Amino acid sequence: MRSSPMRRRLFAPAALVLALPVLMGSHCGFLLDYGETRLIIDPVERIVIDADDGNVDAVSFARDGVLLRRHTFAFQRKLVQPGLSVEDGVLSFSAHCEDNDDDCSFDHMLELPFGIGFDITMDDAQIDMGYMDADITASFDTGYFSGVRLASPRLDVTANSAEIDADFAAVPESVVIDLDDGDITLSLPTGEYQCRLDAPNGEVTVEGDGIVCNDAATAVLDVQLGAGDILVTEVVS
Amino acid sequence: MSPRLRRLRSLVPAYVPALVLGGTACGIVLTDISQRDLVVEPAERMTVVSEGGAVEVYAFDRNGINLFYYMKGSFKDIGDVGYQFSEDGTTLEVQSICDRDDFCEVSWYIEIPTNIGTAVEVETHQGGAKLTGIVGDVVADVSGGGFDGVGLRSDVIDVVIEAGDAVVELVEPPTSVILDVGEGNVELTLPPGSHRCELTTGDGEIDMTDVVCDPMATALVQITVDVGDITLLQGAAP
Repeated sequence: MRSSPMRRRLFAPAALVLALPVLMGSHCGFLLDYGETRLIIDPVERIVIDADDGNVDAVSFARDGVLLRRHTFAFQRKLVQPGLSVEDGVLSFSAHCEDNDDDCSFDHMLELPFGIGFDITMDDAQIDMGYMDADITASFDTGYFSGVRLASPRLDVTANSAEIDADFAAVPESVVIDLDDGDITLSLPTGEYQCRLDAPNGEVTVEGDGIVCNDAATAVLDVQLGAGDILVTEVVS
Repeated sequence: MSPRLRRLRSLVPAYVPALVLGGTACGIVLTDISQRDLVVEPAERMTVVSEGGAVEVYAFDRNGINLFYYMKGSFKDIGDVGYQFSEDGTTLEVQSICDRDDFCEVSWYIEIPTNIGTAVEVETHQGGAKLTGIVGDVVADVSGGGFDGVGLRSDVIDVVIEAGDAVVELVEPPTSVILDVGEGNVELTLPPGSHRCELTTGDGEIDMTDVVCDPMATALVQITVDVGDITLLQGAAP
């Protein structure tokens, strides 16, 4: 017999109460839930993020200094002290939990001057980036990458299962994507590209008369997708 | 990306329901926090509904939209707080809902870019509104405070205030400015030019000596005040 909606509503909190001892048993100790806001005025050319799970939201515009807000959510006994350093123009964050605890998450919000690139290594990553004009490298297991109005010369994304959607405001030198499972959408300015688009278990579509695939072109689209579709489309400005 | 709902309160730990359950049994769970989030996607229009607090929107030469709120109240009284894009992806809908008014204060400070002329619509129930540097059209329905418009470049401004002063400065000639105030004074600064002035106050004085009013002008300045004074001032040329 299916339970009524009301019964389900009543059951949910009751189940949570009953489950609390079990939940707390596996995560005893203090739960940390805090944010840090920092203004970094040292010269920065590249940001390196090495974290377990979480998001990276970043935009670039004409401003001075890097505004960072990092939100940490983790059980204290599992949390490895998050790191932050600036050295030789590299701003590095590290944020991990022992045993890669899935209940930990680390969210990063960044407002940047132009000219700063990214090197991101995460497990589950939700990445939203806009208006970057420097190289971006992202390697993660699951999640998504969304790029808005990118002017990055090089975008390099490696993932296991993800949605990748990158919108370029300027013709990139290279877009290299290696994805096992998911869909990929690239919105590109009019131009000629070396189209190395490979999706053996999906469809490859190139839309728009302005996107010309030419093996002699200098701009390279190297997209390898195990399962899923690739869509390359002409950006509508 | 497809529109996603982001509830900023969801940044509060997932284990908070356990605390709330405890609160139901043992007392009241209070919150006093601030949160910030960044929206990368551009928005042609932004609506902000704040049922228990003030709203401030600052437009300048930047990319992305920065949302910041300060929340103080009881979890019993605070409802949904967050944002989402409309189905067509053009409108960023920001809201802070009060399930009850007993102890629910959520005030917003939002930064938006000027480069795409985002139109701004604000609705407050218990707080004022301040908009600075907005380029797109402005619509505001303000209760529980006044309205400040600083350095506005909007073509169309339509503001309703229940009770509170309206101080509005335009730095570019508008097509239409409509201010409807229940109880409060209005001070409107306009760039040089001629305007079709329709000014009405039920109980107050009107000072428009500083501005050229021409019944044949195309730019409309319509101000209606139940109780309060109206002052028109001329600002600098754009």
